[in-house]
Amino acid sequence: MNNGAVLEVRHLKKYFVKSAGILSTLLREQRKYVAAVEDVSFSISRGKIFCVAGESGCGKTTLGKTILKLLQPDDGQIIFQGQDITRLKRDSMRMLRPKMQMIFQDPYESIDPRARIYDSVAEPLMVNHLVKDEKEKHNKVVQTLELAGLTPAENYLYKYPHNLSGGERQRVGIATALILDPEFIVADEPTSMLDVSVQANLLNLLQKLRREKNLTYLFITHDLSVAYAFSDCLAIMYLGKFVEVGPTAEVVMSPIHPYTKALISVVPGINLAKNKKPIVLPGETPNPENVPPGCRFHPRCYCKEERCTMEEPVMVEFTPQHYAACFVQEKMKLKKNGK
Amino acid sequence: MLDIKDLQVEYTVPGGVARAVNKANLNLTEGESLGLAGESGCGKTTLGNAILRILPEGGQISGGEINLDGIDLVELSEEKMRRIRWKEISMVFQGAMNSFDPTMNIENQIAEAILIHQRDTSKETALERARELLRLCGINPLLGKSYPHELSGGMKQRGCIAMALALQPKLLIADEITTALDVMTQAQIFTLLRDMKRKFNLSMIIISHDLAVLAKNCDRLAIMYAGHIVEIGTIQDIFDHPRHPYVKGLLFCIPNFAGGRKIIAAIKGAPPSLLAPPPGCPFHPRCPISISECKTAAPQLLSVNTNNHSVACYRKDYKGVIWK
Amino acid sequence: MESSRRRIRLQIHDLLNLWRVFRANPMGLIGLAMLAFFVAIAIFCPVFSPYDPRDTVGEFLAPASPAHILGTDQLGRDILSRVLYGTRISLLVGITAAAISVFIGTSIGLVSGYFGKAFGEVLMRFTDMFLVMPQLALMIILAALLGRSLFIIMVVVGVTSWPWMARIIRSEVLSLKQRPFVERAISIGCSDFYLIRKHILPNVMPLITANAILTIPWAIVSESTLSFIGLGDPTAISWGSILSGAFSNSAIILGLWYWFIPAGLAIVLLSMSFALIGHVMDEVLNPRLRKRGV
Repeated sequence: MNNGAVLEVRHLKKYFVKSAGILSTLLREQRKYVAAVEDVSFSISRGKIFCVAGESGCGKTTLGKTILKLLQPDDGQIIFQGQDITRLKRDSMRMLRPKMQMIFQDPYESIDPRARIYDSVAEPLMVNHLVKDEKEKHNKVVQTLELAGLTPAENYLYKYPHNLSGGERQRVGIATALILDPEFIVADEPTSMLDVSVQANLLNLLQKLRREKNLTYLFITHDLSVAYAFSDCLAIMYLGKFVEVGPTAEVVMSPIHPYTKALISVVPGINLAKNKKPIVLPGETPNPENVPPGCRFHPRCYCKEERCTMEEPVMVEFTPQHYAACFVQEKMKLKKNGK
Repeated sequence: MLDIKDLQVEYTVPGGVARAVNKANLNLTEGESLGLAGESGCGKTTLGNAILRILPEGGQISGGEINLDGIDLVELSEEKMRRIRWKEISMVFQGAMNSFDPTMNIENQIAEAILIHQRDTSKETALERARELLRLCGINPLLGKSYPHELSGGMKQRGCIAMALALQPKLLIADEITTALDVMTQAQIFTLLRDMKRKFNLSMIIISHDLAVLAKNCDRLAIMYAGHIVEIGTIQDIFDHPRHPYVKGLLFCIPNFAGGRKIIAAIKGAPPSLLAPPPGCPFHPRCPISISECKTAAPQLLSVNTNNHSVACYRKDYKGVIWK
Repeated sequence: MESSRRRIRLQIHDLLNLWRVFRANPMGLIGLAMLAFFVAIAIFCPVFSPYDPRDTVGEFLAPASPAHILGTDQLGRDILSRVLYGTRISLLVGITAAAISVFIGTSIGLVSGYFGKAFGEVLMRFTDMFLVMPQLALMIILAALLGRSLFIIMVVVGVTSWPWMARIIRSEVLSLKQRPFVERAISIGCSDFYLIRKHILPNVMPLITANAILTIPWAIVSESTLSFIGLGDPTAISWGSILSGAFSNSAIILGLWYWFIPAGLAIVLLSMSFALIGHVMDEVLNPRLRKRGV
């Protein structure tokens, strides 16, 4: 049901096969799978910034790459601007690629170290045969570099990545993503390797671009404070599933799921007024290879019940647009409504 | 307890001499935790390494004093310094993954640290102590026989803390110990550190680029920029009444839940190269309120109140809006 | 066009930078000097050598004397002249054979590394076959079967020494494939061949260059070995064949040092010059790739 959503994801699954040794293949053991993304559904409207937040290993990067078809989905649907792209092969995807681009996390690794900046930024144009001559290419590259805040562009054109700082390299990454005039951008932790002041500049740039070009973003991060300042909708991911989704301000200020509550409480803030006591969860961030039965969060949960160890909860709407998957909270809500 | 006066550390690199720490002054009392903050390249890690005198190849302390309970560590011979290392001051490093020898199990490595310094201890006693330390740091002592690769990042970092506490030092330096860890694991590690500090009356220097983490876990805070300490004071003073333009700008940039939902990209530009820093105050090229004095001589750290709040800025009394 | 002129200028600037780094390492300069010396001899040996190397110009097995600084061999030919002319064969065959080896090794390494999985595995097993075969035995058999010409020697040496290169290139390509900039290239719609040509190959080039240079000494020694055991081109003057003559005429027992030492030393020194250059090239080309911003 397309209601102007740029992206709709339904029950997306992405598995990785645990590589089997020769012995286990000989013994015909059942292949083991690691479910990096398990049954994720959401949609993003045009011009919105949708943030997926979670700790390392939760599957958020895999989710981003699968949506852009850099990885083949194993089940579910990805509907981009009304078109089902789930089963499209690489050749058919090439038509669509200009519209959906990615900004990568590591500014040191995501640009070809042996190519000059000019060539790296111009490459998307060349590969997709979008420019007719050298002059047009040059102008477009200069224009895009300046859009990404690298002015004067002339100073950067013929440099190599190692001549630039981390922040400048990330801007080159943004320029490479912008040059095809995309409509949808997946930003995978674009600022986590940068200093705070550089991060602020870059996030400001991304917001400016959203306003000027009506871009839609899927923003992946582990930093909840950045998510709070930057995004419209927030989804908290744990072990491959969304545990809570909703408008950012609501999810942060009135979290429902116990994991969200704990996460928000431990994020150090520079406001010194201490309001809530931090909930420090026991144990480690779990390994996606060992998914517990029932609710994936129950081994570390501080308010679980019998049911949580046996059944997996589903997403339930608590307040308009604000969903969470938790039996205990559901029960409390029903009790409150029952009054 | 720790008093650093006019410390200078330089690195000799192919391009020349880079002054990583420039006339640093700070002090620490017993049982206090001081946060050392700044962005990458500001010199905070170098300062930590200089205190323990473990600077990498090409680095040397070119001036100043580091007084630990009256003894100047800069003047000590390597032999005497070795006795102080780990016994009086110890360090927990960023790459917990690399701090352990992958071929030995952890309890043996901690016991080794004990045996090196206290030669008349028996191996059995050292192992007992190692297991006790592991337990203290939240690791099941039975896991002492594990090898580093069998443990998660968080557990390895706890192991590093246990190893750092093996000889009951007076001062613990923690250098970006949670940068590579998740926010939940980070909370666990800092809870552990606070417990240890209370239990052993430890003094700590916590080095981090994350001001928010330091706000939660330190008593006082020093902020560095391009090798200079630009502001130092209690957490309350720095966060509620910052005086240095850089510090004010930095506080604006940090997204947090209490602030409004906007990001103020205050400070433009980049930190200077340490090989050819600008004359005078290192921040003046990026400072909106710099004056001619800022270009001639670097400002000294001067006190602004009775509570040990000091700022190195000629415009520290400026009351207007600096960053928009 | 303005930009292409600028690019050429920048390219030259880059090469000069490379040279500056290379120059800083004395080992590389020594190697370069030695190589220059040998190249000069190879080019100008007609000028330098006192006699025609193929002519009988003196008594048989004459000892070292002012007329024949390194004496004469069993056919009365001046040994010094022969050693000087031998440089040509060693350089020619060494470089060509190494080029063949590098070409085969790089192609197989690239393809098996990039296209991975089943196809890559098959190629690797094929490579392993060649790796395990005793090279010397294989060279002897091939040379014996195919005849004794210079061209055959080049081919034989080239075809038996590529597996080492293939393995190195393959593992580098495998690791390159994982790096984010390759993912980015795929995400903007690059085809496989474009990726290999524009992104993988340039990033593997430093490894290829450094290792190619290091393959040359192996090729030189292999050629010398084949000539020594008599499988070389009988009409070509090679250091190996000089040594062969020395050996079969009991030069070592008779202490005719001037016969076997210069030729042997020449093999060692020429190989060493390439080895020194190759090692320094590795240093020069690689750190730039792994450098992170200050």
